[in-house]
Amino acid sequence: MNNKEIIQSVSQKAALTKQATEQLLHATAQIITETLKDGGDVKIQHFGSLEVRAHQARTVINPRNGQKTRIPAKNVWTFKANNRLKDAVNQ
Amino acid sequence: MAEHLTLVSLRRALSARGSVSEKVADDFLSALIASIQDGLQKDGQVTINGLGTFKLQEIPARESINVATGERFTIDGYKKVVFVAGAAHGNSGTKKTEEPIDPIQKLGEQAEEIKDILSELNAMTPETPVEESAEPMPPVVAVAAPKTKKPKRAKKSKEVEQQPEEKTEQAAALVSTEATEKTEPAVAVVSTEAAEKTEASEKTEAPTEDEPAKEKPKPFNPLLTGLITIGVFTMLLIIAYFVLRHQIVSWADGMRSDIELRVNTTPDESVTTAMPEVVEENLNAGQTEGQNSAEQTETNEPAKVTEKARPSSPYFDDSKRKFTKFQATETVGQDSRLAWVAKKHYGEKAMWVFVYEANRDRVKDPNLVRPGTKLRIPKLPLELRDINNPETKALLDRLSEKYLRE
Repeated sequence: MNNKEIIQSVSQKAALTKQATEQLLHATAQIITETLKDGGDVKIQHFGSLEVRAHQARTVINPRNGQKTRIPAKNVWTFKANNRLKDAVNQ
Repeated sequence: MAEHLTLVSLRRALSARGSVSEKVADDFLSALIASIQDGLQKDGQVTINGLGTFKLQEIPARESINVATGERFTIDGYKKVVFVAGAAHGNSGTKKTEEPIDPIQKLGEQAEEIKDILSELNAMTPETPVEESAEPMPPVVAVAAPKTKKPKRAKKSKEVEQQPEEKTEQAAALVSTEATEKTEPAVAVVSTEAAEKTEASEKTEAPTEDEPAKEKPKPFNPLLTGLITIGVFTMLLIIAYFVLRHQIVSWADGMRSDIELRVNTTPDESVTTAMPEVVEENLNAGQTEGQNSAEQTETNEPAKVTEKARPSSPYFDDSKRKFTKFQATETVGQDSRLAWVAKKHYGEKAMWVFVYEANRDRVKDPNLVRPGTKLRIPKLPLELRDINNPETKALLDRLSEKYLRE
């Protein structure tokens, strides 16, 4: 399901126009992004939680040629599905 | 922003930012969650622009052991929801505010390009610059306005991306299609011209897309068939080579064993008179066969001869079998057995009978070998060494039964 499809689906379910849905979706993404960037986390009922985890820099070795590469430290977003979402998905 | 964003605070923020009532925001959010769930169930993947992708990951069932009881049990497989942040969030914590502006910036750049090209083309389009320079400025409006037309362009660019060789054409196509989309409302003259251009560019695109599709199967077919035929021929040659080789080897073995047998029997006291004749016959058969195979006539006759010659191999006849060549001697230790000695030297316990046969003068009872006895380990001819040969197996069974009964 791509962005277009999800906008269509949401607009049908919430009885909104596609334009309004798109604006709201964009705003939602922005709010979530800002929260995560400010070091917060997002916990949405019946859905799951998003949080930022710090990954330390590490050295990896390419098994083909034994070359060592340094992967810099980074923050990654992790999502943990709520039990309800898990159940729904694993029906 | 709040440290913890919950459904409630998200709803509040959303209603403030999107200037809608909290009820609408609530409806929207629940619809969004339901839609994501549906999408995951439907095709296992939901992409939200500016955020990332929710995906389903299949975790296969695995076996585990109960540590307390040592019992084995399986952990059921399941589907895990994973989230991959959008490209702009790769280093989410460190990068700042790139992603929401990004598409708009792109649009702005493209508009600039189009403007330049258009001005080059007709040198007199006063209205378009005004229209397009206004476009990139207000973020939300700009996104909303071209969005309805966006899908087309997206598809176009996807198509074009598939053929990275024709970059110039790609650029032309992109520009011209966008040009039509954007200038249509503004200037009729420009739009018609641009439309003509798009048609032209689409025409140029269409054949380029078809060509590789048509061309691909043609050069591949003869090549593939050629390769296959070559492979088959080499296989046949290899098989033929091995068959021939096998025949020659088996013939040579037959010859050798015959000769060995002759050597054995001539000094041997009284064995029989029929024996030499058999050997000579075998020899003759072997020689004619050898000539045949030397001439490389691939008729069935030599094969038949070898098949007949092998069973008549004298080593399968108890009275004619005599071991003269020995590969080793073994001093029997405490609690040793013939079978173990055989296993050690031949890799097969059942071959103890040959060891026993070669040492009948020293071993009276095959089940009771006295420690310190020196056993001569006979060198076995090929046909006896092959435990997979049914004849050998039969011989071993017969002999073991016979000797154990004695």
